[in-house]
Amino acid sequence: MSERFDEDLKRAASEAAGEPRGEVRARALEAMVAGGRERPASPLRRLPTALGAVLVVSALAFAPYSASSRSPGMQTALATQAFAAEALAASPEQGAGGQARRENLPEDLMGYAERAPEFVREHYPDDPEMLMAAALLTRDVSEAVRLSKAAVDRSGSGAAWAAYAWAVMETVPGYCRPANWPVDPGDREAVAEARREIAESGVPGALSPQAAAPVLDVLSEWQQVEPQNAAPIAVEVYYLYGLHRDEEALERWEEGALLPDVDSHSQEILAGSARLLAEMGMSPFDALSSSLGHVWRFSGISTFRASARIGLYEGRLARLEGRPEEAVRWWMATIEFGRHMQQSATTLIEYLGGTGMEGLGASPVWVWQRDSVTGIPGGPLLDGRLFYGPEHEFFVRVVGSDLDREIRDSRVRAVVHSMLAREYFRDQQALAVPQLAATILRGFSMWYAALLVVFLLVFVAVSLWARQKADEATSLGWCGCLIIGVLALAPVTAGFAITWFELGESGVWPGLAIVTFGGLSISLVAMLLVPLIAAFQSRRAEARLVTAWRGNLRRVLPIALVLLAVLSLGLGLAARKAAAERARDWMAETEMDRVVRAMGAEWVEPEIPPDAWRAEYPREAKS
Amino acid sequence: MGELDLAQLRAGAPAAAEASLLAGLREHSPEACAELYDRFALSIHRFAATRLAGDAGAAEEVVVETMAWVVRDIRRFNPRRSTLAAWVYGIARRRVMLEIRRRKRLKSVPAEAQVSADEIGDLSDGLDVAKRTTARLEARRKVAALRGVLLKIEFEVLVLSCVEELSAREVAQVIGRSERAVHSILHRARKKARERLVGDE
Repeated sequence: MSERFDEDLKRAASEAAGEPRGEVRARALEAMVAGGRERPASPLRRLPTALGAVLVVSALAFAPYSASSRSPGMQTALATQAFAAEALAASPEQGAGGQARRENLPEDLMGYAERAPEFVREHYPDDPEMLMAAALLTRDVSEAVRLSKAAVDRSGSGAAWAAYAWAVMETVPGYCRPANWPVDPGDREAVAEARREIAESGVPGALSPQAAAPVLDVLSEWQQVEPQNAAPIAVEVYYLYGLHRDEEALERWEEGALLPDVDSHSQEILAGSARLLAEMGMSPFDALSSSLGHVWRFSGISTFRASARIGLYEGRLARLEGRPEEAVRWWMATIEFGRHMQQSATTLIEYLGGTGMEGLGASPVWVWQRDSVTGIPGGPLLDGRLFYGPEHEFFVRVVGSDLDREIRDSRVRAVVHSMLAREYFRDQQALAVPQLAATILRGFSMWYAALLVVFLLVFVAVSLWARQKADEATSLGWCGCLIIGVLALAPVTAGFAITWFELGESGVWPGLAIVTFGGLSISLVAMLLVPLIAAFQSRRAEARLVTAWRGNLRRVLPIALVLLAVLSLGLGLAARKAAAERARDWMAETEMDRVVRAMGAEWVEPEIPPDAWRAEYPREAKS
Repeated sequence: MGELDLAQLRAGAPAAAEASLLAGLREHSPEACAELYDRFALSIHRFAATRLAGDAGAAEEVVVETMAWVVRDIRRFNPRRSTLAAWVYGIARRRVMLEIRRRKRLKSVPAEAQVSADEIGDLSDGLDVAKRTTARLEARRKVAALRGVLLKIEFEVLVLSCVEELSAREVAQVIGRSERAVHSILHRARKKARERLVGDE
């Protein structure tokens, strides 16, 4: 029965269909041999696909380049510059300079350091700013001397002389006396131990006149160019002390303490370094960030601090040897030097160097002591207070209590300012705001790129087999695909918009993680789920739901990929532009101007905690 | 070429011969293309015409496009996943679906009512044109009636299985369903079709 039905049906179907005409065979054979469809596709039909592919590849290639920008490094660079000089000054072998400083350049600057001299000679042979910057960047000390000398010859500015002085200083061997160690001259055993260790270290205890002559000549020339600048004097004192010309060193130290300005030209050095690195190919923001990270090495501030230690030690020595007036002269000159440096500072490192110098000079009279038992809650001074220094009684007896009070109050104010400056470093808001826009743009550019990769993998996965069947299983039009693509990306884009407006000037927002990851997750799920839902409506009658879903994904995902590529690329480029603009804005004013502006009244009139000092000698600090 | 020969060609091609055919198709050799055409053209034409309500012109276009696509995509054919017949019918089926979609956008005279002018003029075999035309129209009405009572998928499975004589496994590969589903659909289709034909008779 069944066989008869089949035969009847087959007969009817054959009869109804007939046979193809003869010419059909020829046409079919021609098409088959040609190896393509009868109607070849127009090349223009491929253009949108090609453009989309170019966009996607460009976005994927740009993403790692964009991620390599080091905007978070700004915080690290500032913190490094602020505190590293102290660490360097604490090392006696590196008291003034040393080749080791050049050799310890960060890894990412090594290549630039190698190329800098040749680059500047080729492109900027007569630009003193570039010559100066190259001198400070190169790892070859003799090259640094030549380049900085060329800068001096072309401009003769104080900044060029400063760069020349820093370069020449590195040709002078180091020396070490107990004052550089440092050690209390009243502790004979400690002094003997220090002398022994210095001898064992091989670092000479004195400089030879021939070795010191070049740097002294440069410093003398520099001071003639800038007679009101005490910076060359501060360095000269260090070398005079190395030549054991102690009396002359004290006189020069006092002369320098009278001058109102202590300018190491670190601001100009920073600007020159950033400009050179940018010209050599670094992005402007990265150039500024790198410069902040390394410029402190050449600011001479560690030498100023070394001279301050000399003042402290020699004053103490004079006190012990019954030369009270000389002791006071050393300490007061050191305090004045520190105050002037704070007042004239253009960079934060200069300012903090000044507070450190003032602290050293005042430490025989007033000493900062960690006071864990009775810390001051609620104020900026959370970890200690001022107590009498070891020579407080002597000092008051010699110079009077008025000067003692003045030193005390100045010291407290300097400590408060130093704490505020450290808060400025640690305060994410203060640091993030300058590059906040770039950070947000870059962050979301990366998130869009990540989504791009995920969706690309999904597209490849659904296209691995039976593509044609999937494509023909759905009737979803391109308009519907566009709507689905845009809707699926709406959550992550909304997250970006909310983040942009919420972070604003604050730089901190607790909801950031929720909005960012929430938006990403919803977009990811939506891109997979919405085409599935659409498949219920759009699939052909004969098609399976899963096949129609794959077909929908194959239509929706390319649109989403192109949108993501455009967003990722666009935001990445916008981030670079924003960072470059911020770098330019950053250099438009000095760092201290920014600090004062950021801290506002808190800096100009700092709150002095009432319990900032105790009129007593410090107790043993309890652990 | 007679149907028996066609059936033998479709059903029983030895593996070596098929491998040779596939190799020739990859090279776009005229001989291989001719062999492919001779093997499948009539069946595909019948299948397409049945699905397209007897529209011979559209069925011929489906034949040409199917043959061209088969050769163009021959490198994607995997003999371990399906037979060559199932693969070719799958391509033909998609071309038919495209044609149906395209037709929905156009107004046309129903194919059942058409009689090709070429056929009326074709007297080479000496048969009575009127008798032949009548027989064809009658066959088309039967097929159309069957199409009217069956679901699209039932009609398709019935045609592939009973008319084109594909195995259940091949039908499953063509339409993208399981073999069990094919058996079930076929059983339902036959039952309905038998009831309809018995009713007519």
